[in-house]
Amino acid sequence: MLSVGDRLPDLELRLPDERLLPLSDLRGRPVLLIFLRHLA
Amino acid sequence: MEPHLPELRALGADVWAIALTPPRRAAAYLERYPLPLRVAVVPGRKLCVALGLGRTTWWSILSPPSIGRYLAAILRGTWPRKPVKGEDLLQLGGEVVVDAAGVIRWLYRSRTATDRPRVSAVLKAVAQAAATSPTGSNS
Repeated sequence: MLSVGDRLPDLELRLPDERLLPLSDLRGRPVLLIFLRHLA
Repeated sequence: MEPHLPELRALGADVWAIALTPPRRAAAYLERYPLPLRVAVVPGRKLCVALGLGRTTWWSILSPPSIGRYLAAILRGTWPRKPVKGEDLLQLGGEVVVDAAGVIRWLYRSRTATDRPRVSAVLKAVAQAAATSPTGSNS
């Protein structure tokens, strides 16, 4: 299980239009990821 | 968190909502209810498992405090909707702050369906991550 100090793995998310979003694309600035159970 | 987006952006941070829902469902929702932050979706539970985001129980979801929060949401005009294939209603959320190098600097795992971290804790974590980032406003 990942914890503070670990590198976020290079997994891929998807944008709502189905394009892939590699987590590595988020590098270069701090990022806050808010995991929501659902949008509404 | 929405009222605090300007503070987060002033710190040089990107903010992403990661929805645990199929892409089409997210697209349909965002078309109707645009959000002021970027949205991505998680295919499957791999990332949630890696981050240790847990799953709750139906008993917890149907507990009086949770029902009270759902009722409050209904009063604000947001009605619960039916789940679709690919959604896991028992999956819990959380919040993660990652620095510019991709290292996890703060992690909050929700303990219940309606549990979220304090905004002050999130802002502090983002500020600390920004302070160590070459692109952060504090560098």
